[in-house]
Amino acid sequence: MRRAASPRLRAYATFAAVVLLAALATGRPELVAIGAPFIAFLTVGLVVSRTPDVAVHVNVPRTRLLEGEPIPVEVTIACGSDAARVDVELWFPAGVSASGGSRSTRLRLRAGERRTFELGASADRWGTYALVRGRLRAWDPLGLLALDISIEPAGVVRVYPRPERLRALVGPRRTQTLIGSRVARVRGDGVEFADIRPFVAGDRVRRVNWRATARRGSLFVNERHPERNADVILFLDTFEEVRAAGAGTLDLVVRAAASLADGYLSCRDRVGVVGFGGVLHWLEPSLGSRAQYQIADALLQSEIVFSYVWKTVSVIPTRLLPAGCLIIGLSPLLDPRSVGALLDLRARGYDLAVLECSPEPFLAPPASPTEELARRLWRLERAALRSRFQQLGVAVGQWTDDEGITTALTEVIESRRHSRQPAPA
Amino acid sequence: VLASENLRPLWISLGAAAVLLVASGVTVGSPRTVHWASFLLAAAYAARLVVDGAPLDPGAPVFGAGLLLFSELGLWSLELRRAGSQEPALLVERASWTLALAFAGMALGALALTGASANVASSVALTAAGGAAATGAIWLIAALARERSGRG
Repeated sequence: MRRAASPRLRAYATFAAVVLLAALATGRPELVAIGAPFIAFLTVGLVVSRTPDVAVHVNVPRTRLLEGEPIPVEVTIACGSDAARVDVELWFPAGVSASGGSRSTRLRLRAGERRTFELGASADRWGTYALVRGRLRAWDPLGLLALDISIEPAGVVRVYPRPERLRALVGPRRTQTLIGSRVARVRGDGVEFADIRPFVAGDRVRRVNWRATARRGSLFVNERHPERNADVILFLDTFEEVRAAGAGTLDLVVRAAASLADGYLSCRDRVGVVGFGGVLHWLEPSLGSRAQYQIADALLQSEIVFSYVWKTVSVIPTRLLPAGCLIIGLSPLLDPRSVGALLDLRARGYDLAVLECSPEPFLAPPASPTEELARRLWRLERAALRSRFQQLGVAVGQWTDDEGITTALTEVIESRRHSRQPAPA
Repeated sequence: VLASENLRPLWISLGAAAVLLVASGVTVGSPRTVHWASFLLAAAYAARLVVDGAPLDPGAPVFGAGLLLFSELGLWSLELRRAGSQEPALLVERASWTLALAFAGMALGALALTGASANVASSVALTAAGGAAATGAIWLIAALARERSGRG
């Protein structure tokens, strides 16, 4: 900490020196008279100047938030023996903006005064942010000397993607053995009625269907579908993205993953995450609220890492892809490696659905007829790719940020009703 | 007719240039431009005094105080624009300080003019004493500034 001279001090001192010397050179005492107010200003300003005894502390009370939620930033300034005039300026990282546009404030503190005020901020995008850097500048009464104190980050704030409430989820073809909310195709103990069959030794009396028994003259029992859970793997394509104006396809991918994880976990399904890109990261399938937090934290680590390495699904540990799991690919379908991996997963017999996070809204409009033609060809290529997926029995839904994810999911659900059944895994 | 009367358009142009400078400084947010505008006004005033060769100008202290206010108000408007929020007490305190120092400076200037108008025969020794006083004043300010800034 060192006090620094303000530009005003330097300018006024130079001015006073120049006019005094000019008065001597020209023999005009009026020049002394016009320099006198500046000399008085400097002399009084420097005499009354004291080193301010100021301490600043920044606290961020909430460190886990959802996108768009206000981030309260509490700034406490304590003034010691002498009064001080302080300017507080906070610098937020990219992606966080100050509420009301004001990131600085100017205060007058009396000796021994301690003041706390709140500066609001909000995160426009999910991520991990180190909040908050800044500077406190304590001035003397006339603003000639300033003491700068740097404000170090108060902590890390995690801003999670805001999950969308989904009206429908893509149902898996097969269920697992744990109890859940999905009606299994197999028969056993459950609530949903499946069929009736003749009584065999060992059947419980409470399962006897007395109406059918009376009509047919022999004992018949009800068969039911048990409620089971499913394994769902969210396959995030992090090879490539298209970004424009602070938003991109990776944002859509992460937001979709957060919404789907939230939806499936609330149905007591096990959810796993595989981030397939320049860096491979994963989270093994698990269920419950703990898994929800783990997935949310894992999604925050999602980033595009540029890589030339040709990766295939063989790099994914097999325990991450349990037999009979539903894999939902979340991809802009831009990188051939991720497209190849999805096709490979389908070829291995996995139940696959793809939610295409469309890059179209992030592209600049074509500037010339040639670009327009190129764009049309590109769209045709993408349509052909979608068609290839559908021929392999993979439902593809297209999602743009303009419409809710439910619309795209409905497209996938409808498409799966009519698509070819996958080979049992 | 004083020589400065013939140069009236030049003085008006210099004054207008200073006003334009300060306006542009405030617009683009440059304190340096505001300082340059003050320098320009002072230079125009000094040039007019030298060209005129007239006896003592009694309005010089008022001009000096006005120049300080001109500079301070220009800088103040820049700071107000930068500061997000500001307490009203700060505005009152600063306005009081600025006005008080402008008046004190005006009184100091008037005192200097009164001393200069005393009928004392000029000599090399007197000029040397004046030079020493001017240098001493600047040295005092520099020493004060160095001492205060080094204390933090």
